[in-house]
Formats: sequence, structure tokens, C-alpha cells
Amino acid sequence: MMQDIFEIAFKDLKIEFRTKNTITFMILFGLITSMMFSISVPLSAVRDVAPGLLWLVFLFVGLLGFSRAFLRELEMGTLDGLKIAPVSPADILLGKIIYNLVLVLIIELIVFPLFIGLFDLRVENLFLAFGVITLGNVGFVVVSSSLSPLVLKAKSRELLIPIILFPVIYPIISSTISALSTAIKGGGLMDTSQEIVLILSFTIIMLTVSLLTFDHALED
Amino acid sequence: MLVSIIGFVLAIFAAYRALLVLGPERTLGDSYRIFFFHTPAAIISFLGFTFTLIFSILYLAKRNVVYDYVSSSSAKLGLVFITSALFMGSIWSKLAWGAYWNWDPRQTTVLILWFVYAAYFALRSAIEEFEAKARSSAILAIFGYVAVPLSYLSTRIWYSLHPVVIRTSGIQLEPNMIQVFVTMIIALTLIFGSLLWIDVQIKKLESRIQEVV
Repeated sequence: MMQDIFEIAFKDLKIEFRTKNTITFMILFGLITSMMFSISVPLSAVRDVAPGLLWLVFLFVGLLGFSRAFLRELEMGTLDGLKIAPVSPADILLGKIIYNLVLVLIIELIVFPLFIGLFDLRVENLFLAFGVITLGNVGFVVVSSSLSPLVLKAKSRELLIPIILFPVIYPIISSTISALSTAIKGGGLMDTSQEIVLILSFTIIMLTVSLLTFDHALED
Repeated sequence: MLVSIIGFVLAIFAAYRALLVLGPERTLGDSYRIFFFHTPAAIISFLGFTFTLIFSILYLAKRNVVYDYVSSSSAKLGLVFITSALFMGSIWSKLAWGAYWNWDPRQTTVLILWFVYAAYFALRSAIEEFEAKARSSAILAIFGYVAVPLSYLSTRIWYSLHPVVIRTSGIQLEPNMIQVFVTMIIALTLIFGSLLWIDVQIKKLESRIQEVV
């Protein structure tokens, strides 16, 4: 079981790093949105809005990028192979989640410092800010990986994904923004404990629902 | 048929009592009367979304098309009721809080709830194949249901201006107001039930026409 999960994640990472298509697009898109935000926000307002904008960058990048994990299988015609492979649907889902988590960690490591530099932001509690974004992204990846197979048979999939994802992950979005601004303004782990507990419990609930429904999601 | 007539008569009776019989309230004056329409509409929409959740789970387990008809119809009605509650709420908010929209936790979470079920219908309209449509939207309904308890509990979790009328310690209303309120909820439940029944019948007939054609 564990082996199957890592097998799938490893397979996807191998395909991804052969062409680096998705990840370079995601990084470029993240940089472009950061730049747009930086241009459109006046200097005097930066400190107040930066936490929200920083999280929005990752939100936009994720909305476009995470669903690629399944859409690529569809485009390359390998989805049916994946379905008949002797691995359980839950393993496929967990494999895709791990693959997306690796992608988002790499993107965070590149975009996070550049965003801070671009906005000339003074982050009081750097590790907490980074940790909060990562935690928010974990929840985001879990939900988006489990919902993206729903649009496989839909028309205009890319447009539909943000529409169905955004309201479901709203609790993660709002808690991450509030924890992130606390961390940037110098709050400690204890000041953000409420948000962190909310993100964690929400993620666990969503993961449970995904594991229960995922064999239906991948059916033909 | 009879159920819907009883429902409409009760609704008119409750509306008459709410608008004309009850006296003005001490702090809110006459504007509080919208409570007898706003809150029942919100409660019925929660009922509708709960139906959608239950019948979505049943559909995934049993794969009976009627379950999909029930879940999509009750989501449709829930969306209508929550939209009306949202509009009435913002009118009331203009009178009581001074602005139509002020991102109160209750307003925010109800808007998110609205987006969940709008997305549910967006997803349904984008998939042509019936089986895939029913299956995908049922899964989305299960995920999206999280917005219902979230908006219900929003006034208790976060600091909110929205009043909490029904508490575990009792209902914060005068006895004659409770009467009107309960009558309205019963009336709207009957209307909801009959509309749901009619909509499911229409869908059944439509699928029979499809079979014949």
C-alpha cells in the first residue's frame, strides 16, 4: 500500500521533471501575479494587504496547477491505464496528493522569498509564516486533488475548477490569511493556534471524505 | 396538491399576522417583521441542502436515478430559499446595521454557501453524460455540505452582529411571535415539500419522454 502510493507519486514526479512543464508554468504564473500585485498596490498599503496577497498568489497558482495531476493523465490517454492498474483508488489519490505537495513545496521555496523581496516586507516570524502557508497548502492540495477528477468529463474544465474549489476550501483560505498576518506582524505559534487547529481538522475531515468517495470519483 | 394549498394558506396567514397583527418591537420598530420571512427561508434552505447531502450519499451507494432527481431538485429549492434569505438579510442589515453588506461572518459564510450550490449547478450543466453528471455532483454535494454547519455556527464561532435567536437556553421571542414564526416554518416546509415532489415528478416524466423519443 505505502509502496503503491510512493510509486504513483514517483511516477508523476519523473514525468514532470522530464519536461518541467507544469512546475515552470506554476512558478512563472506565481511570479507574474506577485509582480501584478506589487504594481497595483500603493506602498503605503503594503503592510496591511501583503499577507492576503501572498496567500492569493499561492491560491491562484494552485487553482491552475494542482488539477494538472489528473488532467495530464486524461490528455496523455493514460487515465484508463491508471484505473485498471492493480492499485486501489485511495492509493492513487494519496499518490497524487504527495506529488502535488512536492510541487507546491518547490514553488513556495522560490516564490515566497521573491514575494517578500518584491514587497520589501518585514516578516517578524519567518518560520511561522512559511509553516502556515505550507499548512494551508496541504489542506488546499488535499481538497483540490480529490475534487479535480470530478471535472474530467466536463466541458471547459479549467474554468470550472476554481468555481467548484473556492467555496469548499473557504475555511482554509480565511484561516490561513489570518494566521499569516499574525505571523508577519510578529505573533507566535500560540497566537495562531486557533487557525492552525481549524486548518488541521478541516484537512483531516476533507481527507476522510475524499478517501470515502474517491472510488466513485474515478469510476467510468 | 392539497399539501401545497395548505402550505400557501398557512404562509399567507402567518404573513398577515407578522405584518399587520403583531405590534412593533421595542428596539427595531417595524423592521423586525422581516425576521418572520428571513429566518424561516434560511432554515428551509438548510433543510434542502441536508436533503441534497442525504440523497447524494444514497445515490452513490445505490445508484438509483430517483435519488439524483431528489438531490438536485432539493439543491435547486435550497438555492432559491438561501438567495431570498440573503436578499432579505441584506435589506434588514441596511436598516439595522446601516449597510447592505458588511462582511459579517454570517453574511460571508452564507455567501460561500450560495457559491457552493451555484458551483454544484455549474458542474451539472458542464457534464453531458447523465451518469457522470449525477456521480460528480453527488460527490461535490458531500464536500460542499461543510458550508452548511459553517454558516449555521458562524455567529457562535466568530464575533458577529447577527443575533442568535434560538439558543440551548430557549428562544428569545415573545410567545405570540413564536407562534407566527413556527407557523411560517411549517408553511414553508409544506411548500418546499410539494415543490420538491412536483420537480421530481417533472424529471421522471422528462426521462420517460427521452426513453420514448
